[in-house]
Amino acid sequence: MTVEALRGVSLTVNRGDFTAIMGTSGSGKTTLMNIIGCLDTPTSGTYILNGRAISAMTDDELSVIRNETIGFVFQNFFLLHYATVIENILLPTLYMDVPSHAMKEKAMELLATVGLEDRAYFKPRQLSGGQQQRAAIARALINNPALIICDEPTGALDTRTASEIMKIFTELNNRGTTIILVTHDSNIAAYAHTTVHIKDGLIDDAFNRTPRQ
Amino acid sequence: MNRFANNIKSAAYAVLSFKLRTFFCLFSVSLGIASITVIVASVEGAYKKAYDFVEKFGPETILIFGGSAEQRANGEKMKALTLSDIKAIEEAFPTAILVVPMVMKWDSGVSYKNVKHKTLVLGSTEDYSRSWSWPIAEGSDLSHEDIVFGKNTCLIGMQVAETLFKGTSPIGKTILINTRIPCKVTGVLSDRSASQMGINLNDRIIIPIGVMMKKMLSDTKYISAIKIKYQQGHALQHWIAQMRLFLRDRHQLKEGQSDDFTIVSPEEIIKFLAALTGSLVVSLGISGIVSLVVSGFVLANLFLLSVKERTREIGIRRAVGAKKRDIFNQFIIESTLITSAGGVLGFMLGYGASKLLAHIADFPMHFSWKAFAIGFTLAVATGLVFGVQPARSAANLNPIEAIK
Repeated sequence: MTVEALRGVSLTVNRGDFTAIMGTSGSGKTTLMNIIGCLDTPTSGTYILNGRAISAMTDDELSVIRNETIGFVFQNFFLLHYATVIENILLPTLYMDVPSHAMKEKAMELLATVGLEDRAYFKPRQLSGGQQQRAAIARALINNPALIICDEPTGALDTRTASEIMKIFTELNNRGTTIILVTHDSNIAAYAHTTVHIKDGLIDDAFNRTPRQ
Repeated sequence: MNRFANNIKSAAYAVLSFKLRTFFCLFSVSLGIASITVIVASVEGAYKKAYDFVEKFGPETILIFGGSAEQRANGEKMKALTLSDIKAIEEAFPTAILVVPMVMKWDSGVSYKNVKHKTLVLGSTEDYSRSWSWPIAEGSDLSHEDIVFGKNTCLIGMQVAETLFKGTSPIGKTILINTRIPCKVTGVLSDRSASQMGINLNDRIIIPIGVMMKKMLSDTKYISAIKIKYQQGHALQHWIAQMRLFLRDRHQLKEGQSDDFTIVSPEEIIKFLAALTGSLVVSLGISGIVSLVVSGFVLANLFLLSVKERTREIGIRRAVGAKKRDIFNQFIIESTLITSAGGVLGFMLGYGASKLLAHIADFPMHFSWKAFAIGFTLAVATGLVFGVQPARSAANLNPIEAIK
């Protein structure tokens, strides 16, 4: 028996957009996120990212796309606990063609951007949840991604920390980064300019708010 | 290349971070390698001992004992070789540059002043030391006159010199053999590493053969053995065959009758020792390989567990751009790094164990780059072979499942 997680979803996200994907668990929003994030390919239909058809790519090609054009921020931060903060931020560079030490300066800059410049050589467990999520955001930015995908980025954080993290995303979006935010929390989705509701594998109700100028 | 270097870096980092896993794998692999190191070292030791022995025996020499192998085993009298055989051989074989007769008596009493000692007394000629390539350390060799005129002179081994003279020079002193034969010491034989096939070669006295046969053995015809040294570069096997026919003819042995003498050549000594070590290699080798295979299974199991535990890490790495190949490389490098370190540690353990074994059991051990190279290669192979399955399952993890 096969269950179709998504059925005929048609969605366009433009460069510079800040789009929230909302839905309850089992709605298919995670599957949609996995496809957008090039972690999975659709069984049918097409997905075009930056003008390239992702749907027909091999596993290796998908890895390259993720490495070059996507940044992930997860609910539980997903930092390697045995590596330091700076090493975590440099993790994507291990799979790039540039020598990773050349990226260290950039990693330090990003740490400063997220306010963790004095925590570079800490282990993730020595940081608070908010700090860990900032480190994860810095990691997502190390490859200058065309697209940042956040999966419940504030799910493990208290309200105050959550809004700090959302401010960082807003700031990044203001500077031109395209962001796709997956959440079930409408307060968090409110930070996005566009919200797409998914229900039973279909786009239930899409509405646009005018992007702030 | 940069990417592969990064795989190595990631692997090294993980090896250092997952200390418990590293410890157990390292421990089990190094035990396996240690036993293999001991095996290789003992095999090499045995061979080295064999070649050392042959070197001392003399590569171009043969030794002929009176009596067949069976007779010798039964402890029968082995009166077969005579002094006239010596003459005949010298005449018949010009390529035999030294033909040296020997008679011997074990456990003969010798004394100097009131120090007593029991040792092997050998009667031979002035060519004894040369035929055994055994230089004189102090004093001079027996002379032709000593032999011809049957002078009471002797050469003594290091052990005898030490026991009887305790550091003072024995040269020119007179020792008493069998309480009644006084012999003047002319020289001391150089040190021949303590024990050889269970015999302390340094514990012996050489006296002129005539003196020994007349005064100690009361037998002027039969001798115990003949040592022959051939000219260099001649086919020894050919001469051995010729010698056998010659002696059979001289001793008037009929067809079907077995030899009443035994010819020992360096080649035979090596063959014998090789057969001996061969069985050693098989029995020890099997246990070594078994322990290494067991350590391989320990490694594979711990790594499979580790892959399960590190599912999240693998997912993260895949999400930020690692290909399957990167994950595979990382894990196989992790296992190989650990087993390589286990190889080095195992060699050191084996080295220590061998030294101990050599010390308490007088077991010949020899270490060379070979022992290390074999151990290290097997260690690396263990990491590669037993790391493949865990690495493959790590690489094939679905990134979506891995980051749930």
